[in-house]
Amino acid sequence: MRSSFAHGGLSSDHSITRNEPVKKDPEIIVVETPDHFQLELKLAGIGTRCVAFLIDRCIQWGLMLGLILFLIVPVLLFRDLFSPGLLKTELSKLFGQWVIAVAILVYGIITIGYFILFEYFWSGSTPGKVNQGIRVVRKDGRPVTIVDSVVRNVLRFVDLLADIYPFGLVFMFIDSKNRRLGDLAAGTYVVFDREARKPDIQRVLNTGASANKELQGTVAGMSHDDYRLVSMFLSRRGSMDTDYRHDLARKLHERIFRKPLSANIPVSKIEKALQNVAAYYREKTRVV
Amino acid sequence: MAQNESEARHTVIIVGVTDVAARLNVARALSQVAKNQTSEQIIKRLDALPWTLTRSATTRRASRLVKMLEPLGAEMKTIPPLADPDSYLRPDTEILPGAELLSQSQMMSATQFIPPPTAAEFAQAQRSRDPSGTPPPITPDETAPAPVEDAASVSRRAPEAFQEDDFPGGPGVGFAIEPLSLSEMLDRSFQICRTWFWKLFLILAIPWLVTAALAAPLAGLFVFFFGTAAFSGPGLPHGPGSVVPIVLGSILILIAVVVILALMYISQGAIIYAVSSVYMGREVDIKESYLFVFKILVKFVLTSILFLVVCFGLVLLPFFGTMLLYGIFSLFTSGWWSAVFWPFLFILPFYAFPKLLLFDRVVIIENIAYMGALHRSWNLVSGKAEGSWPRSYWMKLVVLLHLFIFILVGVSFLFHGVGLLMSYPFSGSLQIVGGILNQIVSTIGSTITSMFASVALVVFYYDVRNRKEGFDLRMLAGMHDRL
Repeated sequence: MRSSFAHGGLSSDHSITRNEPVKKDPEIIVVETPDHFQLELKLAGIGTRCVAFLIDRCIQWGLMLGLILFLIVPVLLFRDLFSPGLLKTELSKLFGQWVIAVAILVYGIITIGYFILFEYFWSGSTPGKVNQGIRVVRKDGRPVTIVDSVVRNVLRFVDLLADIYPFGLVFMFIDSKNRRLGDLAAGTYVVFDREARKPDIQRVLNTGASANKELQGTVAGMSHDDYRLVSMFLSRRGSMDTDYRHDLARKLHERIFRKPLSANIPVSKIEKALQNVAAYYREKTRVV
Repeated sequence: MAQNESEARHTVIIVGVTDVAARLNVARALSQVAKNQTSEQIIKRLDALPWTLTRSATTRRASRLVKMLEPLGAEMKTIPPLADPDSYLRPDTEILPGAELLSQSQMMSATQFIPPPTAAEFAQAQRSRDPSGTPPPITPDETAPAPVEDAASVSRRAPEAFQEDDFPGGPGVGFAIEPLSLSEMLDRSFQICRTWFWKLFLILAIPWLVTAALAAPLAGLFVFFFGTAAFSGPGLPHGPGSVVPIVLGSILILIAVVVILALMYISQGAIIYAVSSVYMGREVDIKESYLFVFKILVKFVLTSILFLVVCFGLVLLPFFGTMLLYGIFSLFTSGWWSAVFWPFLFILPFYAFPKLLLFDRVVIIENIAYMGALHRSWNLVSGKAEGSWPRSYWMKLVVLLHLFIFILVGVSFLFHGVGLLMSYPFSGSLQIVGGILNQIVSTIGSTITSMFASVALVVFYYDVRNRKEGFDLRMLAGMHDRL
């Protein structure tokens, strides 16, 4: 049996487990909270982390570009105030090396400070991580502290060697819990952070009153797998190729209604019948 | 009806818990029957007792709730029907009506509870579950309510058709076939690479191993017959006698190139077959993968050559196009005005190449070859999907390829660095050893990256089919033959 997460299980990605032994799923970690509850967390995959990192990187480049423009524009606007000779000789003599030092410092602050500050103040998230629905947590499931964040992000310099993440990728690939060097040192995980879905009662349609005997009989004979199948088809039919969509609709109709379908019945009618079945099943079982 | 309504007005309240351990047990029990309460919410509510669980329970359900929670240390209070005539109108936690459906699924606007099973029901469930009579451990899955169906939840769930017990390779084999986002595709690719790393790696490494296995004795024979002059010193010996090793060497090199190319094609096909097997819920079998490709090798190689020809044509097309445009413009004005249109011509190969990239998957998985495979690949990568950016399949593939390049550069950089470091201590006459070591490490790096690329493209291929053709739904419905 797979984890509850894989099956949809509880409505939240974080669910309490029993004490009975559960088959180990490499994508799920079970952390024990300080009050001895076991919390199931789904680990963020390497791909998700890569995409989140690239989004953050784009934001950082944007920040750096903005900063450079912020510094260059005044010089360009007021270049008449400075004689070219002064700029080239005296200023560069005075501030040349300092400028380089400050530039390196600013680069470091933006690349590392960005992650530290966001992770600390946003409970382990950065804009890229928020976009991908992931966040950093400690081993006990609690939000990262400033020390954890500093440790995992300072080591980012090692993971990020030459800005192409070679060590980070290899460490994440080798480690079964997708941790890079910084995570291993700081004792942190990057996990999915989905909000518990709130049931949408509007989607429970009132078809029961108008349901005819055939519909009632059909729904009574439906398994939950049948419902899932129909529901998934209805939610995804918009992006399907027409031929496949029609064929699938017909086959599902035959499966649900347990009788062959005449070839001249229009597909719109078949899909409407499937919609009614799904809606009535939802109402009967309170599934939304 | 009125009778039923009057019955459904018991109010069940937890007024206290005996101690900390009881609180834990009660929370665990509630977490298994409460649907839309997270663990944290349950604990909070237990910290702030009393907690009205429901105001509309039937006598039977109220008593079952009490029977379940009281032995665990909860102090329960049940208010009989009509004690508060209006209370059932208040929106609060409820027990679902329709007990026959509760064990399957439930979802309402407030907390729902699965009625705890009676002793008889529990025993019956155990018997039906395990004929040997040994009660299996109850995992949260078995008591968890049925999932809510929406696009978000669907994307993260394993279809029933791929329960682990169904997989001949045993538990843990196989993945849910479902539409994935871009990052999920990468996740899935890494997951497959990691889980079946050695087998997939071996599939791609076999051509190199065979080459090495053939090259070493051949080089030995070469040296045995013609001496080491062919490999070191001033080069091959001159004179009439030197023609033999040159001709022999050329033939050997030619044979080696053909063998390596054939093996490369076979290994590419084999890894596509192996990853497809994983997707279809089977174990990776190296021998089976190779044998499968052997059967369609001619078709596969010819289609690959056709693909190369088409790509070559696509690259040449802009050059001929620019010359043609230059000529046409020269008739009316300066030919250089045609340069305005050149960029569009040069975009063409970049547009067309990704659209043809799935041809090898089509050959191996669908057994469609030649122009049919290219046409099918083009069709698959055309159109738009629903969901998050990028919606266009073409753009999705292009972004995926760029992400792959990012990963490729990182991994190659590392392996080349390691290779260089390993070859550094060797100098002088041992330089060749360093070179070989460097080459081996670099080859390992490139094999790993090509493994990832192959896996990622198979994942993408199935994603497109899931979205456009409902492939996963057909599998779920048992309408589609497995590979």
